[in-house]
Amino acid sequence: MSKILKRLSVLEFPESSRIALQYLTSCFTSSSGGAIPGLGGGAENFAVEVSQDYVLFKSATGRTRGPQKKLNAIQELQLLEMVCSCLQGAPQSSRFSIFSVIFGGSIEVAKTTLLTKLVSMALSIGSGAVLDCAALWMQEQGCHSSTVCDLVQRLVEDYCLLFPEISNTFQTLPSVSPLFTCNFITAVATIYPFHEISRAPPAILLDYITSWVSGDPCLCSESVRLVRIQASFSCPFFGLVQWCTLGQILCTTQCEPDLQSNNKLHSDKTKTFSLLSKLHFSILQSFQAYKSMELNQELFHMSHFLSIARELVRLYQLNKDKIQEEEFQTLVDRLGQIIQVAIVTGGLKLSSGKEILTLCEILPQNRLLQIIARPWTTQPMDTS
Amino acid sequence: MAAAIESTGRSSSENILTEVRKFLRGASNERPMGRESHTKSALYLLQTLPTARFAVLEHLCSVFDEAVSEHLMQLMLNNSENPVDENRGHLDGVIQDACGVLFNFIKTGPQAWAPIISSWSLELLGQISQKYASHRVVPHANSLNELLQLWMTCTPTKSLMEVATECFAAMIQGAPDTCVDALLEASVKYSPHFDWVVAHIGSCFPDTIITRVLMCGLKDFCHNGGRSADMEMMSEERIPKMASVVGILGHLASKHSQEIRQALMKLFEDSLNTNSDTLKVTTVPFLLQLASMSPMLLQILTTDLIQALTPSVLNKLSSQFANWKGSSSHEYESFLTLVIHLITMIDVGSYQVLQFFLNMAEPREKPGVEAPNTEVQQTCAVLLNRLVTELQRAVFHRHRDGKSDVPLLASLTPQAILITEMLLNSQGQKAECLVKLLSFVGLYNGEDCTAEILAYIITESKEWHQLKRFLELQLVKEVRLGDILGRTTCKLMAYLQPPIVYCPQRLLKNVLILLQRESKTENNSVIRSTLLFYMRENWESLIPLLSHTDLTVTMTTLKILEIVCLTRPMSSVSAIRVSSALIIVFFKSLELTDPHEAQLSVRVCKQCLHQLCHHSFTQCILLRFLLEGLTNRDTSFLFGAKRRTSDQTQHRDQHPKVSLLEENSKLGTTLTLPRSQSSVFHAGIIGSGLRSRSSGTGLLQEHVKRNKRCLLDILHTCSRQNFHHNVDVAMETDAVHSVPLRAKVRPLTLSGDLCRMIGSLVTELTTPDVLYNNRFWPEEDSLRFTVERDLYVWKVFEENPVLWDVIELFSGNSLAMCRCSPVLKSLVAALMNHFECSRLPHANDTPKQNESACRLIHCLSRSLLLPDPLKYVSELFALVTSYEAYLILLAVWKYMKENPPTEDPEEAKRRVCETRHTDVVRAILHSNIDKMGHLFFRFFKE
Repeated sequence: MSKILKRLSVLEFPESSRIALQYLTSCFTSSSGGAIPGLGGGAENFAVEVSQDYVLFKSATGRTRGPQKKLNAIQELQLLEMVCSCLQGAPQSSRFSIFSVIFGGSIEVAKTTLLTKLVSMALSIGSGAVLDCAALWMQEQGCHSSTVCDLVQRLVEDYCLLFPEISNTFQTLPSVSPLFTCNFITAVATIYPFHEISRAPPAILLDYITSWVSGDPCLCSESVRLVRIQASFSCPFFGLVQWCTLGQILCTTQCEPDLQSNNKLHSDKTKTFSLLSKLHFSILQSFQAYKSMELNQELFHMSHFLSIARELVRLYQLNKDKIQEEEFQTLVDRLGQIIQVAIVTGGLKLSSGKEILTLCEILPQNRLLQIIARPWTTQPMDTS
Repeated sequence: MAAAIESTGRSSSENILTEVRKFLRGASNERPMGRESHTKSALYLLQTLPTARFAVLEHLCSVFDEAVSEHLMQLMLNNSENPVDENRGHLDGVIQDACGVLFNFIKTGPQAWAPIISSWSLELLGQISQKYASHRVVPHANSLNELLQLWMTCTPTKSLMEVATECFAAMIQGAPDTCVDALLEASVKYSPHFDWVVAHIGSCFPDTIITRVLMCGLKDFCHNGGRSADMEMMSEERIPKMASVVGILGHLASKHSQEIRQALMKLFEDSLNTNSDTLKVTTVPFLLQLASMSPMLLQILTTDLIQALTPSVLNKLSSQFANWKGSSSHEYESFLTLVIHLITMIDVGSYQVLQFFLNMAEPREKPGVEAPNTEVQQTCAVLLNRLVTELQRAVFHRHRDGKSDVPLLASLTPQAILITEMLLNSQGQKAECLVKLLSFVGLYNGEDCTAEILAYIITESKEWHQLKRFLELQLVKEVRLGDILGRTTCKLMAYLQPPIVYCPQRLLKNVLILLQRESKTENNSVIRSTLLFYMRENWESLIPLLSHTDLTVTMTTLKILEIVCLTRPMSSVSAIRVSSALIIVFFKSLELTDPHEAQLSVRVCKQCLHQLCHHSFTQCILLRFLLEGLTNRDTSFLFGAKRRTSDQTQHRDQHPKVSLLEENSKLGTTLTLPRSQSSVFHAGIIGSGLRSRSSGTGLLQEHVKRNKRCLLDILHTCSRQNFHHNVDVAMETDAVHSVPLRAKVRPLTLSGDLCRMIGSLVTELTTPDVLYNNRFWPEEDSLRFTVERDLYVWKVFEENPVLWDVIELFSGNSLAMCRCSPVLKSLVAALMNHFECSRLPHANDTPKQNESACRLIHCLSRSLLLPDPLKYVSELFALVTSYEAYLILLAVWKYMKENPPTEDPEEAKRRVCETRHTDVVRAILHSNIDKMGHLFFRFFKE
């Protein structure tokens, strides 16, 4: 057994965790500095054990000695505070290593719970370091995965349901950690696809996201930036497009705003409409910014738009009496604008005109769509 | 820091971090920090740092805990030694702040916050209640009210309770299940210390809590019970949640029993209409399980559920259970056992329950009303049978088991009479069941109740099959209660004491039937105590019934007395009572006009009298009462006495009051009379004019004759000397009417005392005073002094002709006649006076006197007071003149004067008639030899 484990085993909680964290920090800072290559592996090995036993307080199998107790809420808070400070104090290069030695690896309930709390705390105290690490972790896990969605769900509960009025930190989130914000939005859009009224995002969240996206056009592309390090990426574009199209029609058709008590705030329809409109505009802007970043990644497939279009028509057919023709046309326009800008900015690449024609068939006659489709419908143009 | 709290709205990240560190420092106790500032920083974090909420709430737990502990400490010190505690006040402030923050949360975000805060507050309340349960100041968990008072006066717990209540209020609309579940779980966890919380919250939201608690319980029950095969195991598992359900309902019962009632019934009704198979099958067992755990719920169920279980509902239930019964018979079996157990536990409304089962087991056919189907009937019958078995076990093993209470039996006690009535009106299976049930009720409650039941059967039975129940019951009950028949008899006798409430006739008749049965089947194989034995001890209570207005009652009583047998020794008081009552009955039965009826009554009277006469003392009394009755105005008319109406007195009363003054003032105006003292003043009116003719007896001659016959028969029976106690009474009765009156010559063998008594009594009854009441006959000259007296005696005999018969009856006895001597001599004197002065030529012309003279002489001769020739003189009266009759009587008188009546029969036998006594007779014979020639030889044999 190593020296550090022996030392830790005789210490009580706050002290043991503190030393453990110090040890972890030292592990990664020294190894990145100039450690002897042969001993690095051993150190890391201990780092995992130390983090398991003295940060996560999870006893390894076959272990009889060492702390096995469960922390109470206050101690847990203390631990979170220590982890926060540790990550914040660690050099940028080794931060994610420390983070991932603690929270990386297999998904465990205790681990994610602690992580959720850590992220929530980091949100409150505006700890960019922790949030960045978390954002990377989210990216790793995939923003649509259930683990990430659960975490984000907790955060939404904390900051939008339980404490809606203290979200000052929430407001300034993009400035603290843009990547985290971006991934957060993606996950939120996964949780709340807005294709039915019960899955509508809380109004306050919609408000925040709109202001974030409109405040920083590059925000939505933050995750795409990482494509250089990571093969797969996810971006919030698709979800947001869904919001400002499907969300619009849902809110219009929803006669009883109080039907779902969860969404009482949606009663203020006009506000929602204006937010969605603003969001729409911000998305368009974001596409522009995306183009300027020259990332050249395909953000959409046409099938995405097809599914949105089908859903849109379905909802329209369902509530024909509640929605007027012009309003619906506006929505189709909105979709058309996004498609057009996406094509122009390179977010959407059309291989053939077949898909766009299908889209035109699904949706009612619309001038903008016809214009978009024109390049692929030259034949009829000629005849006319 | 205050500034930091103020700037909550725009708190910066650094502030929060500082505050977190501060809070953690406070928690880690590295640097001592005031409770107040610590908590303030905690509250600040609570409002700004979402992640910190668990930690803060945990911290608040310790704050509340400390506050409670201080409060209790202060209570213990009684506030006297430590009047000002600055710490306490500041803790109160802290608590108030905390509650304020929590309230604010609940208000702003009820859906998000209420579940968190409510579960936290309940948990904390549970912890505190449990922790301090053993504290000296805290009352025991059983005394809920005291506990409630203590905790509700304690600021921290009170505030916590308010918080919890607020949470409930916020959640009750949206998600009642969640909060009730939490409550139940806490209740399970911290029971019984947690009960006060439940009670308080329950009383704040009775409707919801009751319904929800029941729903939760049912859900739990279904969940656990649906699959498990073994009932025992199931109940083990279920018990915690069930117990807390029962506990909560128990707390609420005092104030909200109506709601509970409705909720339970609603549950039941829902189960009938539900589509869920599980609910259909589990609801009723659930309700019963609940009932088995709480007497209060049992009570509600018995009163309401039984009413709800109409035949149609039962049919539905049985069809619902059909599957279940088929698939898990074991479970069904234990369900039935539970039902039986519950029935035995019922203490309110037990009668209705019993009635319900009986009706369902054997329903009465009613048109238009749905009858329970065979399945239901069978089940009810089975249940009843098992119930009876169970009760039997409980009753007979009561003391052995140490289980002394069977609430069902106890509660059925007041209804025992109703059940008995039901028994009397039922037959077959039902009756058998009821007989057993009643015996157990009786055995359970002891002699008194049992006696009442038995007495009721005797009082109310109308037919033999009903009365038979008495014997059946007696048989079972005597196993345990040996003296039960005695108690029953006492009770019956008590019923018969005035004022009589019951109709005594039926009771008496039933007793009589039982007695007759007992006397008939003496060598019965079944050993039981007999009613006869106890009636012998209690027969005296029947005496008042003899004077009952209804003659049938009297007759039945007499028959009973006859079977009971009055020959046994008895006290003088009862002897006198029974004698007088009997004599009254006798006279009353003589009043009957229907000869057959009268005959029957008299026969019964006679049998009783006969038995009574076994005591010489009572014999005297009886005779005395009988003879007195002859001259008594109320009864004498029965034997031909003229009913002396009170006409005369009435007449006098009707006579207008005459004022002497008025008469005198009129006097001078009418007639001029010679002036004398009498003519000057009016002296009033003397007398009241002509005496009105006394009316007839009102009784037919036949009737009178019959009565006389009966009387003489009775007198004969009563005055017989009973040497043998087992005289065959039947023979006597046969002879009553077959023997003609005149031919009554059967010699009476009377005891000396009785003879004297009779003689004296006749004298006493017929003579006005005791003057001259010696046996000696005076000089014939002195007769003129006793004329009035003689006429009085004569008049008595004239008015009550039956006296002649009586004298004749006893005339064979010289002892009695000797005592009667004054009467005889007065009669002779009266006749002498009559014949001496009679202006009619022949003695025959006054037949009454003539006959009387004949009977008189006959009496004298029978009693041997008159010797040989003189005793035949009666034969002459028909032929002689009046004066000659006088002469004859004078001759008799002279003889009697010289040979006064003697009590010694030997002396009387020795007496012979001398010639001087017969001279007159001889002369009369001579002078009328043409008419009396054939008689001469009879008188004078020479």
